[in-house]
Amino acid sequence: MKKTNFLWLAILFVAGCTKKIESANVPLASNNVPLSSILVDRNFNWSATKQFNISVTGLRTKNTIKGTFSVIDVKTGTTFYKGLHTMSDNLSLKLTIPTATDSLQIRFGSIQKNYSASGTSVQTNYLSTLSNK
Amino acid sequence: MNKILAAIISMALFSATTNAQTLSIDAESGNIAEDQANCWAFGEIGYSSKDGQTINGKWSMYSNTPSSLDPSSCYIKSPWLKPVRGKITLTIKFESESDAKSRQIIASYITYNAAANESAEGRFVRFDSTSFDLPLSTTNQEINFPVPEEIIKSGLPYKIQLSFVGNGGTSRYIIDDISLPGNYFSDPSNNCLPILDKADTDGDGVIDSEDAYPDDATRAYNTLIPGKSEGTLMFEDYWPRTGDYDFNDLVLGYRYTIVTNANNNVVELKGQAIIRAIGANFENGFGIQLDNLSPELIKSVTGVNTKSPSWLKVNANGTEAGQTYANIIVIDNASRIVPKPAGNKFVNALPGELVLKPATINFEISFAADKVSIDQIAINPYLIINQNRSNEVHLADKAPTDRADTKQFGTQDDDSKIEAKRFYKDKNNLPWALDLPAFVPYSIEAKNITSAYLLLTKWAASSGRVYTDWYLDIPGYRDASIIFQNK
Repeated sequence: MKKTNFLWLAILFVAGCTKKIESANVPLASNNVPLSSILVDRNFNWSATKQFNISVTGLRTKNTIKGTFSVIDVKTGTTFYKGLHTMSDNLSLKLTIPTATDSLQIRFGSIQKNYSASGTSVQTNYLSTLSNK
Repeated sequence: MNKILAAIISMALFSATTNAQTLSIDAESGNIAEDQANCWAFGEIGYSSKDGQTINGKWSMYSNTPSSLDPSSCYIKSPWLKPVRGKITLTIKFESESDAKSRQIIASYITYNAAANESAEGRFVRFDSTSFDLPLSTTNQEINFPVPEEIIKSGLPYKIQLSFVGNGGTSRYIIDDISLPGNYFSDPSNNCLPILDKADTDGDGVIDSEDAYPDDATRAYNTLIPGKSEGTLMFEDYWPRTGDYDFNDLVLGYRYTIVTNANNNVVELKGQAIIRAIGANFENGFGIQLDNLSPELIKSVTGVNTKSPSWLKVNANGTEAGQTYANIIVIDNASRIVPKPAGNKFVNALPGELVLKPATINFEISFAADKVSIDQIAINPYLIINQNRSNEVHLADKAPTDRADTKQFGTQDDDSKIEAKRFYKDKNNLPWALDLPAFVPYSIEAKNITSAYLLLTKWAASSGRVYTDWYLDIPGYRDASIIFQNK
């Protein structure tokens, strides 16, 4: 009898776990799933933004070239950063951007480069942006 | 008359002169892209460190096999430079004697003409050349061309182009140590055009066209948080117990403008808090902590909407007293600022009730001069529950302030654990507050936010990996019948 009860408990436990795991796969446009019923990872921080690091290797230049370095959301045009920088200096930025941001554009004068924002960092430089003139 | 005027304008345009110097290129960067980025241009020229393809140092330049006498077939073109008197010099040798029919170096200059094309290159003028005896010599040869007097006298920038031409045979040019008398005058950050004197009225180093404060040397840039649109903070105020998850107990629009100077340090933070809804009976306050910034780094705080509640003590600079990090209490009591009208149970939360205009609080935090860089700004917003200063609600995993009663952590439904830096999440890992980087509507009273935002659960269940835009107004993302309509 005790063994039977244990078996039932085990089945119920497994079934309960299965339901919880399945609840992570909430169907699209499911408007009757209360927040309290979903399984959320313990480390999830509920943030709709993320830290994004940009590091730029400076370019050795003959003269000191200073200008505005900016980082822009390609889709919305939102400027995440603007600052005065020397082209020969390395640059390291820690930005907070929406996780929904698809791509970023960095600008320094006429130099413009686009990058995917799906990760958390980009390493770049000022090279390969100029055609032979 | 027109010629005189043009000359005066030209002199003014190119007034940035430096001491005479030499512009040289020797390929020792080992990276042709680096020299291209510095405005050198190459046609059918590469860099090599192979045995037999170098002259001095580790690297030299080499041409492709010449097959034309056209100067544009194979060349090295300088950046813009202000030429001075002297000789253009270079060292060359040939890869092999081979069976060449001819080999010739042509020296040309290119005039500046802003209206000519994107690169502002005007006339191409061939001014000198040298031909090589056959069979070709594989030993080093020093070549020089005097800089033409007409381009020195003009005072205008020029480019020098050296073309390595010929036909017959396979022997290539090996080239090194090109030296041009003149001052470098290209701007690698402006399409390699000549350096222009751009207006900088306040002299802070940021040109007027890029300076948000062109007449103020202490300010240069605005950085908007979260962006062009205002952001939205949504709070539940029943902490440490879970509530109804409508996330409208206090709904605040917000916008921060971080003003920085030419040193990229923060001058001031202009904040805007907009009380949009109060779906609560509690009288809640709102503050921000600037994480990791000492209150001493703040010069002053103005514009906050507080009426000296008993729980609020402020320092002389306007920050809250008794805090390790700078805290600014922006709103002591949202219900005092936007009281619910007679007949309303809430403010802008129940359909059918009188809708009130949102109230905007504009505040300003001034920083000590050149002490705080922009990447040190980390804004930690929080709600103060029902005039009890000890009860705060922060975004998930954002630390409480020193005034919070951490003894309540881990009680009721709260599952905060200080040692794990886990804050304001319940036992099911659900938050009491959300921060969305856009202006978004909110649920009507007592309606679970997941009923209004249909993909929120998918986003949360995936730990934020899918439907990162769940809060945006995209077809299929929202149920409008659950969203409060401001009408």
